[in-house]
Order: sequence, then C-alpha cells, then structure tokens
Amino acid sequence: MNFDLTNRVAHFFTPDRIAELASALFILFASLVASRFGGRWVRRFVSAHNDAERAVLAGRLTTWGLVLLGFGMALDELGFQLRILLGAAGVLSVAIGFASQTTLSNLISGIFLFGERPFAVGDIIEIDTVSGEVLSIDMMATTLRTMDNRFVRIPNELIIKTKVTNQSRYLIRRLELTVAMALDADFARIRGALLDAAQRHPLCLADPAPAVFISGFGELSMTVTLWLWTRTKNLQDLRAAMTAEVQGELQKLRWVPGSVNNSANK
Amino acid sequence: MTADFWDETVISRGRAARFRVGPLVLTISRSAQEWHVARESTGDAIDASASVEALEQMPEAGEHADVTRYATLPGSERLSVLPVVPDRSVVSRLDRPLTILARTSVTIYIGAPVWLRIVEPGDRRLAEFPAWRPKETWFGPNTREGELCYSTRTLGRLVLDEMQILPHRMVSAVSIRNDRDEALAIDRVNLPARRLSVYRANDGRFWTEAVTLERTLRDEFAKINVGDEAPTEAAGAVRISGPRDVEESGRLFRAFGTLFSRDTP
Repeated sequence: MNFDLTNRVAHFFTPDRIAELASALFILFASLVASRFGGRWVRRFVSAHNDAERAVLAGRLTTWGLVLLGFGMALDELGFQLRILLGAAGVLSVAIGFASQTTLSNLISGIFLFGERPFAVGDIIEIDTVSGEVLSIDMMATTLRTMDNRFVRIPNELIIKTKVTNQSRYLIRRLELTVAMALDADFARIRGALLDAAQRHPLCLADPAPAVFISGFGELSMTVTLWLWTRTKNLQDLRAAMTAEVQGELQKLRWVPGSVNNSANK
Repeated sequence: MTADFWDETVISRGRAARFRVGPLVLTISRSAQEWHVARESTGDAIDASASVEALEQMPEAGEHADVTRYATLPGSERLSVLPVVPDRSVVSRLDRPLTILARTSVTIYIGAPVWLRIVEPGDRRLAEFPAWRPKETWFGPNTREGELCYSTRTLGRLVLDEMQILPHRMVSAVSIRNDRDEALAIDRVNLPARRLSVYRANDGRFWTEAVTLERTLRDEFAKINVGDEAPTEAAGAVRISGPRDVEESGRLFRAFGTLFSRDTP
C-alpha cells in the first residue's frame, strides 16, 4: 500500500511537473509582492491628487487586481483551462448576484459615494434620524460615531436613497437663537443689547455681521431672532454661551424672555 | 535686564521675569527643569506699557492668569519674547469707506496686533500669544469660499503722525493703486500678515514691509506686492522677526474682492 502511494507520488512529480509547480509558485509569489508594492504606489499616487478614501479604494483595487492576475497566471502555468474556469465563475457570479442583490446594491452605492463625495471621513453628517462623525466610508457601508459615542453602521444603499446633511462641509456656520418677547417690549433696546453681546463674544465672527430682527408675531408675543456666524467647530460652544448671554442681557433690561430656542440648521 | 522686551533675557532657577507688552502681561518663571508661563490681559486695547521686570522670587499666578508649564533642558536659562506677525491675514475695516479716484494711488496706514513668541536659543519655541486678541472674521465672496482672518477696525489714516504708538501694534503702509478708469470704493483691506516681517524703527513703532495692492486693468484680478524692506517712513528700521510664509510677490489673485472689497459676503 505504502509502496503504491510512493510510486504514484513519484510518477506525479515528474521533472516537468516540478518545473511547472515551481514556475507557478514563483508567479504567485511575484504577483503577491507586485500587488503589495503596486497597491501602495497607487494609493500614494492617488492620495497626492485626491482624498484619502479614494486613495485607499484605488490601492485596494490594484492590490486585488494584481493578486487575481497572478493567481490566474499561476493556474494557467499548471495547465488549468482558464476559459472554462472563468465561464464557471461567470455562471457562479450570476447565481450569487441574484442571491445577494442587497449586497451588490450596497457595493454599487459605495462606488457612487466614492465618486460623488457628499462627505469625507471626519465630517459631521446627518442621515435620516442619525447624526455623527464619519469614521469610515467602505464599499458596503458607512460607519458613524454619534455624539453620545455610539457606533452606527449605515448601508450605502440607504445613504444613496436618503437625504444627507453635511454639518461640517463649510468652515463657518450660522447659529440662530429665537426669543419670545411681549408685544410691548422695547425692540430697539433689545436689539442693541443683543448685538453688543454678540460683538463682545470672541467666538462670534465680525463678518458676516450678527443680525437681530423680529421674525414673527403671535397673539400675545413677538419672536425676536438673533443670527450669529461662527467657525463650524465652535458652534456648540457659541450656542451654549450665547443662550446664557441672551438670557442675562434680557434680564438686565428687565424683559424676562418667554423662551429661548436655538437652531443651527435653519 | 535689557532695555527692549524682545532682547534675550536670563531667568535663573527660582526666579522670574514679568513682560508687559500693551495689554498682555506674561510672567515667566524658571524652576528645576521647566518654565512656567502665566498669561493675563489688562483688557485695555490702548495700553501703551512695554517693560521687562526682573522678579527675585517666583510669584503666585493671578486669579485670572492662564498658566502653562514647559519642560526644558536643565541648564536652559535664556529666552526671548519676540514680536511676530499674526498667524492669519488681518482684515481692517475702515470706519468710513474711502474712494480712490481713477488712475491714482494712495497710502493708508493700517495697524494690527503683534503676536508674542516665547523662544529659547536655537529656535526652541515654547508658545505664541496675541498681545491683543482681535475678533475672527470671514473674508471671501460668499460663505462657502473664503478664509478665516482676524478683524480690526481702522480709521484708514493717510497721515502717519495721527497714529498712536502702541507696543503691541505693528503698522503697515499699504499703497492702493487704482489703474482703472473708474473710481474704487473700499471699506476694508485684507493684509496678508503671514507673509510679512516685523521691524522696529527709530520712532518706536513696529513696522512691516510696505504692501502694494493693485487693481489691475483686468476687472476681476488684483495684484499684491510685498516690499523687500520696511517703508521709508520707518527710519532706522531693524528686522526683529521674519514672515511665517514665503510666497512670491506680484501674485495675481483670482477675485478682485479677495484683497479689498465693499461687498459684504
């Protein structure tokens, strides 16, 4: 029995077959090395002209492309009929495609996201009811870290179909505070006090200039709106500071506000 | 102690020095292997005091002082407090708009606060603080395109003697040339501060190089030129610190409004 197996192995590993095997292994090894360096080079080249996500994607595609090419060449060297294998792979991929439409949809949506670039890693975005900082944009899904430090994975298909708001696309943002005041309130004095408070605050930009105006009337009150511009990264700090500042200014004028609301999305 | 606050100062272990530059008060103490820098502001934008006071003992930091520690080499006892240009462009808004007639040029004097850089010999930087922190502002054609700058108000003086000498302010002589056939009305000027150096002149002022802003014949372009030295008004000027950025002069800016504009973005 042992003799039979040894004999069969000896017949299989003829000098020609060993040469083919060595050649295939060499091709596979060379393609792995080439894919590693090629991927790295492409990533570096693309990152010089594009953002990091595109560079990573291009690098990965190059790496996997070269690995697949090397694998195919190695199989060819060993005498496998690649045409038949590819045909079988084609049939298989159609079958897999039907079975995993959602996956493909996410994949294609991911490619669109890379092309369109509505946001980048590090941006603060709002999708549907979720908002947070973009941690990664992958082929299948985008991951976010919410403001209360939760991890959210959103399929790319959903992002393509839903309204996405990028909160940090631009360097500056407008903060809006609204105050409900009695109809007999002295608007001129209130306006002056609020503009002074905005002028004093270091996070409030000088230009675009702050604005205070009456934005509406109710049956017993009027709505006074304050617009302030600030650096996007300072928005929350200014919101907290100015809400308290407005309250203080109005108390100094002895006009106790009905309510102070703030919004940065309007 | 030396006469000028930017000269090298020796602070031995267990001692301190107090630098007053306009409204900014820096108290720098030396302990075993670290510097303590306490920073306070008097809040007076036109405070003209400039002095260096040696303190025999390390003082207690004031209630409102912002204190930072910097680890350093054991034998290091020397440092300088250098006046340097701001780390962003400075947009000076004129109190009243100025109209420059066709094919004429005018020189206006614009002041901007200096930053103070604390540095050990060998350019080992500890920190940088504005002597007076100006407000931030946005300068650009709209809220999407533009840059964050510092904002100052200026009377846009055409006569130098009308400008008060302040130790925390640098003065730039900005020549604005209008080569076109229409008058040019301006209400603010964007000074490319990062490209400027700080000089000290005999009149006691800090100066920067002369800056020329040119409205070219092509409508949408403006050209900026930074001179090689302080302007002639700054007699006996000696360079104290260099620019943050080195860019070629005579660069054409895409939008005319990038340098000076009357339009609010």
